[in-house]
Amino acid sequence: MIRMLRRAKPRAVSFLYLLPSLAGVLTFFIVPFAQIIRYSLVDNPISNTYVGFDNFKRLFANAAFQRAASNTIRFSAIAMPLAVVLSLLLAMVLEAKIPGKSKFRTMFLSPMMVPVASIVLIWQVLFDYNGVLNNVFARFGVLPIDWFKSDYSHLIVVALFLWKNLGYNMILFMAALGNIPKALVEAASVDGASSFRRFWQIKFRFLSPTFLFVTILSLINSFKVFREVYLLTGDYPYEDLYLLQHFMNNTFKSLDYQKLSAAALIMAVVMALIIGILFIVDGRLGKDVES
Amino acid sequence: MAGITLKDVSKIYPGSTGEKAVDGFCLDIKDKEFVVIVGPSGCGKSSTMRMIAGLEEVSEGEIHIGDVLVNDVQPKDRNIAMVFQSYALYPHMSVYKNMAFALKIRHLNKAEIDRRVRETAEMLGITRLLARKPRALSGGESQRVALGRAMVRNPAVFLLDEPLSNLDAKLRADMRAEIIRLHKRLETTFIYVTHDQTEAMTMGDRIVIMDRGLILQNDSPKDIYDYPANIFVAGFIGSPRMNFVEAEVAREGGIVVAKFGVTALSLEKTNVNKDVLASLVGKKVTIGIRPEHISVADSVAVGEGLLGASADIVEVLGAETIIHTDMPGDLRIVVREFNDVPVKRGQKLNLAVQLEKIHIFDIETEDSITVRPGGTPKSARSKIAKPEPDSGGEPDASDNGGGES
Repeated sequence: MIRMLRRAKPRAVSFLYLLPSLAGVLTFFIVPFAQIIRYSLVDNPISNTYVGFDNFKRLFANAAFQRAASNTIRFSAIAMPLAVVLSLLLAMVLEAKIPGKSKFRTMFLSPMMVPVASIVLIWQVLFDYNGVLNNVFARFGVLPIDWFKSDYSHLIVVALFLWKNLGYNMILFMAALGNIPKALVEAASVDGASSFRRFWQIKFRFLSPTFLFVTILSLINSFKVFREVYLLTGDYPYEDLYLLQHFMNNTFKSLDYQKLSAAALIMAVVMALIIGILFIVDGRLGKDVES
Repeated sequence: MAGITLKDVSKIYPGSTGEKAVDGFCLDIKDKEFVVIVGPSGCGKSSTMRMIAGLEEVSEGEIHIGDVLVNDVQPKDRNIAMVFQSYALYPHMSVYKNMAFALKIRHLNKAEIDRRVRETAEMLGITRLLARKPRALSGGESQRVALGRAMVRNPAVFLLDEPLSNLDAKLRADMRAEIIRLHKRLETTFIYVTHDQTEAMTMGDRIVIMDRGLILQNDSPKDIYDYPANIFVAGFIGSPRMNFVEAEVAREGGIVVAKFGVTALSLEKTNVNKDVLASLVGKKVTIGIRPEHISVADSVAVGEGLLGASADIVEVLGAETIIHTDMPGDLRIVVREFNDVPVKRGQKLNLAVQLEKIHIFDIETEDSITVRPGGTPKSARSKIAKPEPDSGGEPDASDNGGGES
């Protein structure tokens, strides 16, 4: 065997080493993904009749999908930029010489340590119809609001998402801020740059790889917020909170694999497109500053 | 163009338990003067420069640029330019944009920016580099660009923070000369921080030597070399460093001598007040003799003292030979011999000492007792260090040899 390996070309040997992980990736990613593509193009997994883009047409005409997609886009469009910008701002505030810095840092990181089920419980205690907030409002004569079935529901989930994710993003930004060469920022201030210009023209260049990473992370996390919403409000929440994952979950339950596969493919393509654009932007901004 | 005045400036870093990184720093820098602040790592020289630049807050005291108190003035409003040790070129901008950055911020029109950048680039010989990014520059080229970025603004004061320490020895010597030429050409105040005594001796009109946050001496390079105010300065400037020997002052045959080991050297010719010399009899002092003031000799001439020693290590440098010698009493004396004297390891030597060049230091305060002709001795570890009225001007080339390493 060893003799055989020695005789084999190095390229073949390297493939041999890759085999275990390749098997894992093939089994859990590539094959299922290919299967999803196949499902999305056939009438059903048993008869396997090719129907072209019929499943996609059916999907786009589906009111539940439209609602779920628009809710998810709306949620990500609000939550993702907020998660990035607010965590960067927090990191910059904590970078400055302020008292109690480490306590603030721990405070913002603590939501990371709490399991999702407990987080959901806290927010239920706060926002339930009989929850703390309505109790406080009642003392001032304000009528109770069913928060999760109101127009505020979306904002509450955004707040929950931010509360959960800001700390980690902030730590990433703090590390990136700490890596910016101090002399460059000082040179810019001696050159006459205002603090805004110093941030935009010097610091931001160095932050751009982290900015990209945090943005992608926040985007993925914003798609994953379903977990919290599902635990808070169940299968069929208030229509403002009906997200793509609700749709997929429910479609899976009804065994409509074709529709589910088409939806999953659309989601994958959209995410790949967004991440691709982010990489192009980072390639331009981060050029020359990355060591 | 502006002079700078520092009045009792101190720097206490937060969390340093009140220890002063710079302690009561007083200095008047005249307009167009080239002042070098030199000292070992951690002596406070960079902190002082950073306070002048506005990059560090002044904990105590006042800094004036021209007539303006600048303690609370932002760096951008001080009209200073700084060259950093790491060059601090903006990596994502071309050389042209690096140089134009400060001018753009000042809203100069494009034609004026272009004129100034090209003029400066021409002066520094970096025109061909204008389109390049910093990562495509060598160390020497980066250094020139950093200088160019500072020059293009026509600042009132240039601050240079160890700008040559990242260059190799040859390039360092070239850039040293280049910076001296630039100073003459630009006629602007230069403050230069370094730990390299050769840079200090060759570049500055005036040298400020610092240790542990204090100014130990503030003088022209020649006076620093000839009349070091204390043991620290005497040992810091000059390479090989000054020989220090603990000696007892005694009177022998009517002559005041310094006795150490089995030797006695006359102190009568030193620049020490006769009364002071007489008062030293019976006391211990530290005497300092520069290696270049000792030579290998067969006989002693008038004005010379004789030491007997044996050669230990001989370093032949071509133009000179450094001889490390052992003397009775476990003393080691280094000799800098300019004549072509063949010396072998272990060889017995007669060393002739130029008696008038002997420095005497108080053994406790470490301050110099030697009197400076026509002036009072500089007080060691003084917090007050005003420039001498006549201390400006060119460093004397004949004495710079002492600073070469």
